Amino acid sequence: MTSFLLIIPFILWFFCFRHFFTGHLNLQADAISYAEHIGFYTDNLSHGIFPLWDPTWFSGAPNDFFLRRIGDVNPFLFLIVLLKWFGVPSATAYLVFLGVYYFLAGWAFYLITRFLLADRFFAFTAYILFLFSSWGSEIFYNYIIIIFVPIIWFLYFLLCFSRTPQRASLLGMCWCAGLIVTTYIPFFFLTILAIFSFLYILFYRNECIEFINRSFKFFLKNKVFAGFCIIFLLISCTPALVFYKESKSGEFVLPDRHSGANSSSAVAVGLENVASGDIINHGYFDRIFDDHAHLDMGDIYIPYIFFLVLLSTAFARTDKLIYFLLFNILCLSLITITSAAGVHRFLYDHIIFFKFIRNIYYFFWLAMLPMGILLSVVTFRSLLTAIDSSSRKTIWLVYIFFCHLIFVLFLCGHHGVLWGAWAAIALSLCYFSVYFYADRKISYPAGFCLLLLAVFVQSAQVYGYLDDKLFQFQRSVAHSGEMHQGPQKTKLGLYYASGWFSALVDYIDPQVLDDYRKHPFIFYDNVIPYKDSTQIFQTLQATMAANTNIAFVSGAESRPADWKRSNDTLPQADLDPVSLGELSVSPADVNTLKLTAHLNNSRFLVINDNYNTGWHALINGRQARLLRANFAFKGLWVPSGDSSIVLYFSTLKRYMFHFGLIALFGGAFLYLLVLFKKELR
Amino acid sequence: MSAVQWLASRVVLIYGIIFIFCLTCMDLKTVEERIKVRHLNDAIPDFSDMIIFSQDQNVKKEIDWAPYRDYFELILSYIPNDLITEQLLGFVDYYSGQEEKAVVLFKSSTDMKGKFLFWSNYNLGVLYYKKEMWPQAAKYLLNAISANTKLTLALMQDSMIYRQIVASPFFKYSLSDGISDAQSRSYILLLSCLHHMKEYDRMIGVANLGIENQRVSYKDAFYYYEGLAFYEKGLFKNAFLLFQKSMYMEKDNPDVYYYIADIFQKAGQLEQARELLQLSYALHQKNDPRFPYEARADLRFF
Repeated sequence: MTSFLLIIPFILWFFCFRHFFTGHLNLQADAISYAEHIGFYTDNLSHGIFPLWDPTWFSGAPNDFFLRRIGDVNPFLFLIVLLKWFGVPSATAYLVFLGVYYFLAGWAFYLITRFLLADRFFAFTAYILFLFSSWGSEIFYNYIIIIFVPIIWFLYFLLCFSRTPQRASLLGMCWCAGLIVTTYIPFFFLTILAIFSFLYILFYRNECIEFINRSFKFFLKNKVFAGFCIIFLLISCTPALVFYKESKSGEFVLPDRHSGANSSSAVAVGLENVASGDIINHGYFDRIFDDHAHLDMGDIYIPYIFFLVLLSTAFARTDKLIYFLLFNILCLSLITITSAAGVHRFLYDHIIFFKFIRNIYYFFWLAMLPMGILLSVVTFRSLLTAIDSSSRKTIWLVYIFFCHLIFVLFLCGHHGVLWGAWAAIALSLCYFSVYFYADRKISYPAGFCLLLLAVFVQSAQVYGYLDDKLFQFQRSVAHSGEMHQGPQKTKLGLYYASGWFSALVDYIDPQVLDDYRKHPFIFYDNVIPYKDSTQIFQTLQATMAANTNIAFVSGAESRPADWKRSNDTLPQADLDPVSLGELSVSPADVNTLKLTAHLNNSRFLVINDNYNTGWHALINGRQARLLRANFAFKGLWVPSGDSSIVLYFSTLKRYMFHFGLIALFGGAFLYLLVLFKKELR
Repeated sequence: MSAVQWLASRVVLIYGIIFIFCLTCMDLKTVEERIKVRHLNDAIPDFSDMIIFSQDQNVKKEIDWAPYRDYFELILSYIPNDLITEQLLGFVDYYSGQEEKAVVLFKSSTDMKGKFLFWSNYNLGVLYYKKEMWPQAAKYLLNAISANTKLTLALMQDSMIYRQIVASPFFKYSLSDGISDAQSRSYILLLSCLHHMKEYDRMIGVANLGIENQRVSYKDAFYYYEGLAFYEKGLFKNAFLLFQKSMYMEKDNPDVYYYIADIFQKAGQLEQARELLQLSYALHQKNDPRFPYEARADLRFF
């Protein structure tokens, strides 16, 4: 029965977004780059390579930043690898992963509601309101689904553990928390959990004491298991801590994100930047009742049943859960409005991790919206309980009709209300009529159908319009791409890049830099040191533009033995040693570069892939000095004769650690499934 | 159970809590201001079409004016009577076929505390000129040439909209040069109006003003129109000298040759007259878009 209740609405939801899944509509905004990075990661993984370096990202950058964004240890990413092995195209495999992940989110939401309200019908109502809200479109628009799924499952496991402490629930909590902390943005989760815990203590003091007692007893009884969970969590924190340390090294930068931040970490966000990512700055509520025909990706849409329920339940009895949810939402809203309340500023100044949260509006999708839906469903239960226990049912019926009428009049004052909205209101009335007049044997199953129909009819129309709008946009982009002949700004816009490369982009003429980067390998005969200051850029630009036979290395990072100046050399550097037969490139993976040089004299090779202290070089099997050349790139002296050159990024220890972590998460996930199966019995 | 107790146990109370929360915990003024800013940011159009159109109306024929109109109207709904926005909306309204609305907007943005602003006066002058309403055109063009261009430029440079326009990769011009050029054109159109109105003495006065004004260009045109005024007054000797001055400065104006030929003809020097008429005819055949001077009468915003 449960699987039926979950799958039918999901199929209908799939129908609403079918154009995304069939590839006719493209992913939007941040979802594009996440798809690319997940694609890059899973492509490499399917070849048995853990990609620590991305050579395609602005002349090469450490891939750890992107791995932290996507949560590299997530075993569900193996679904993409698996599908690719079966010959499914990368894009389709990724979309299947998104669909599955969203289903997992909906499923957890269903389970939480069912856990709290102990009723399939209300769990189903919450599930369909969540499923058909614009959360569904968010998965094609940004990446928060990646952090939302572990958060919501964590909460489910927490609820289960609070009722009956079991190994499966504890491992589930730790596994989800581990998954979240392997990303560089676990701070949403930490904030939600902190507020949730604080309010739980406030609202459920007695239950909280009981929970602590029960947990304590459980830990005493299962010391080894609890110890394993703690160690698991601690290990999970390692990648994020390493990343945090590296973010302070200055080797990579995030110029836009970091502007105005007063922290040495490159991922810290300036206060002004946070305000641009708060809830006021996004048009979420602009089209909540208006103009659904012009809904945009990122706009908020909730099926009208949600509002009808909230309106109709005004005189139903409240309970502690309603207030608990309400105050969770209010606390989070104080943070999400940033400058319109002083709370965020206080947290930004006093709690370190708030300096790392940019898109503060994600709190809305991660907690406020799901909690709001839950709240409406709890009040809905309260209403039906009140009706059931009332002796004057007709008064309730009249009242509900009156509420619907008020909502209709309210909508009449708004423009662009679609027929789907009116149909939803009519179906809602039908539901209540059936509830009042029909026998429970009929009204109970009819309730499922009518609510699902009301939600689906409205949503299908709204998302149909959204599809049209996106198709139109895609066509106009394609058209303007063909027709647009206007001037182009050639300077690269860097989101994330090597710090030295970012400086090159700032100071070197874009055209000169672009032409220079077209040559992946350059041989020089002269190497001279320079001081790291902005004065070098003028000289460097002139050298790059004229292709002078001089490479520059940092004076502070090199030794006199690395420098060489001779008048007896060609005036120009050798831009194409591969076609001249001086250099050949062997196939390798993204973390490695294998070259063979055939030289008459010793020459300095500049590889126009960004330098990073994590890179190491071997020449003929012996460690060689790798220098930062031409400000941002790799350079090394290659001796005369035949030389085998190998460059590799990071260390074997780190490489193995990442694979080990994947194995640990995969193993823990399988163990979790086994435990669940066992404990369910 | 009392009514208050009953009400306190109902869901409706949470609406009350939310209401009080909004009033006490949120800075609603900041929220409102920021929502306005967001709406404005969302409505910023791509100014490239408008810039290209303003420079050459033959290049861009079909422009979707709606995004510009929506944007300017939104600004006016937040900042009523913003002179720069009114002037820009007037420009958009005129070219999107709403001339009456454009006239109202231009008229309400012609001056700031008694000081004439350039663009609205210029655009009104051009608009009436195109409709051949000479006295009205002359009135606004006169305002345009006596407008405080420094104030106009300062307002433009201070305006967020002009900053967005200037930031466009299609904007390769100077705002001050644009005003100077349009002011020179104002002189020409004013002189043409006065010619149509047969106010030759005023023509001479305005032409002399133009000649003396160091900031305006097209001096050849001012000599030409001054010569034309003398010609119409029957003072052919003065006219001849002025036409000659104009001809030395600009050799491709066919009209100046025509009038000099006419003066030669009136003086009985038919051979010179015929040569000059032939020259005038040949130049006419070239269809140089710069001539006649008054032919370029387009509304502009920079």
